[in-house]
Amino acid sequence: MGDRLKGKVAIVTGAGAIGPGMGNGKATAIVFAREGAKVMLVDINLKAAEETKEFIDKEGGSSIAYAADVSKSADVKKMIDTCVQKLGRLDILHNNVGIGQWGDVIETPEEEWDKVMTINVKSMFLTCKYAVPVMLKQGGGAIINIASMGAIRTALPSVAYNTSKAAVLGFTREVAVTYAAKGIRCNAILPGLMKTPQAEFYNTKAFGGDVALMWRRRDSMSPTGKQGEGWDTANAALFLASDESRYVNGMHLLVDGGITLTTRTFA
Amino acid sequence: MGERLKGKVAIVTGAGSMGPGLGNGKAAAIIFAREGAKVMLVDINAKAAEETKSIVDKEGGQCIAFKADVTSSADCQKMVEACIQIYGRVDILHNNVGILGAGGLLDTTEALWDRIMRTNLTSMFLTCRYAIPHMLEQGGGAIINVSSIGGIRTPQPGQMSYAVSKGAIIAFTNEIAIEFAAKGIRANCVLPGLIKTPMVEFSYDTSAWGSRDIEEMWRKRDAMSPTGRQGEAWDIANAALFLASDESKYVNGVSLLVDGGLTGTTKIFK
Repeated sequence: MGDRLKGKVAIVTGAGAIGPGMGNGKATAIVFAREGAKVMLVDINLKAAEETKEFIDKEGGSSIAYAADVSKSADVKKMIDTCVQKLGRLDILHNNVGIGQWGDVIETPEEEWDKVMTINVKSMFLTCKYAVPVMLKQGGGAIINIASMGAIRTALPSVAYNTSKAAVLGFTREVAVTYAAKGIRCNAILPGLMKTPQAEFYNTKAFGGDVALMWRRRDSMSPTGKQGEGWDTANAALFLASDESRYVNGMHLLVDGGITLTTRTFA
Repeated sequence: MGERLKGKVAIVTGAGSMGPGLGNGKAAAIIFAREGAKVMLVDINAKAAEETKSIVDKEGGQCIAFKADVTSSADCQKMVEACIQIYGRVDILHNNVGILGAGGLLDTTEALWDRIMRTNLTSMFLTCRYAIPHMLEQGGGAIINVSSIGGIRTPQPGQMSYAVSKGAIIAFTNEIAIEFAAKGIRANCVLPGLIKTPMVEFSYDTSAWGSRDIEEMWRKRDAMSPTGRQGEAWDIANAALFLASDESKYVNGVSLLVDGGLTGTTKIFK
C-alpha cells in the first residue's frame, strides 16, 4: 500500500461498475484505497458498490459501500452527512457518475436531454453543494469531475451527452476559481476512448453486438493503437486528489492518448 | 525513496538553478531521482548542475552532472550519446530549458527574438531529434516539455517572444505526440503559471511589476493567483513526475496547467 492519500477521506460516486471488468469509478476507488484513503463507495446499485468493496477488502484497504442516487438532493445530503459521521471528514470528492447517450438534436427526445443533464451535470452541482461547506470548514479539499473528450470534440452525434460533458468543464472552472483561496481545488478529467464496462454497454449495438469488433475499432481509432483503461483514469484522479497537485486547479486533464489532437480524416 | 520511476533513465535540461533556491528543473531532477530514476543533470552552467547533484547525492539518488548548451546541435547529440553510454538508455526527456525576455512587438529586437526562439523552442527540437531514435529502439519513452501559461494567455503584456516561443512548444509537443504515439512515445507539456523560482527572481526587471522591490513583486504575483499564492517548483516537478511515470501511460499531447486556476479567469476591468 502507498501513502499518497494517507489520512484522507474520499467519496467516489459511481464506484461500482455496470458490468464485469474495471470501470473508471471502480478503478479510481481501488487506487485511492491503495494509497491510504478511506473511501466511501457510492453507487445507485448497492451490489455494484459492494463488489468494489470486496476488491478493496481483499487488498487490505478501507472503504464503505453506500447506495445513493446522486441526482436526488435528499440522497446527496444524506451521503455527505453519512460520510462525515462515519469517516470523520471529507477531503476528496470524485464525481464519476455519468450516463451515455447517442443521437442528434432532432432525434433526441426532450426527456432524454433532461435525464442526461440531471445525471451528468446536476449531480455534480448537488454533491458539491453539500460537500463544499464541509471542505470549507476543514480548510480545503480536492474535487475531481469526470467529463469526457466529448466535451470538446464530436465523433458521432451525442448532443445531450457531449453538451453535458462540456457543462462539466464550465462547472469545474466555477468551483475552482470561486473556492481557490479557501484551499479547495477542482479539476476535470476528460477520458478518451476507454475500455470500460460502460463503453461496452453504450457502443456495442452500433457494431451489431460484436464486442470484439467494437474494441478493435476503438483501438484503431486511438493514435496509440490502443484504448485506455479504467486504471488510466484512476491514476490521473490520484494525481489530482493528492497534494502533489496542490497548485493544479480548474484544469482539464485529457486522458485520451492524443486523440483530441487529431481530426476526422476525410476519405 | 519511492519507485515510481524505478529502472528509468531521465535527462533533465536546465537542471541547475540560476540562483539560490529551487527552480523547476532542479526540483524535477530531485523528484525524479527520489522516485528511483537515474538522472542526467544537464545545464549550460556546470556548477549549477553540480549543486543539484550534491542534493541528489545527499538523498542517496543516482545522477550525473553534464554541461551542455542545448541550443547547439552538437552539444545535444553529445548529451544524448553520453546518456546512452553511461546509463544505457533514455526513458524520460524533460525539456526544461527556457529563458525570459522583456519586450513587446516594437521593442523586441530581432536578435532577442532569435535568441529566445533558439533557446526555448529549437532546443527542444534538437533534444528530441537525438533522443527519439533511442526511444524508438527501446520501444517507448516519455517527453515532457515545459511551456507556460504565457503560451495561451497574456497575463502580463510585454513578453512577446517568450510567449510566442511557449505557444510554439505546445504545437511542437502535439506534433511529437501524434507522430510517435503508436511507437510508445508520449509527449506532453507542463504549463506553469506564476511560480516562485530563482529564474523569475533573477531574470525579471521587477519594475515591470510596478516596483523594484522584489518582495513587492512576489506579493503582487501572490495576489494575482486565485489561490492567493504563487506555486513552487515542487508543483511543476510533481506534475512532471506524473507525466514521466507509467501512471500517465494513456496521457499524450496534453497541456497540463499548473497555475492554481489563473487561466480560468480574466481581468476584471473597473
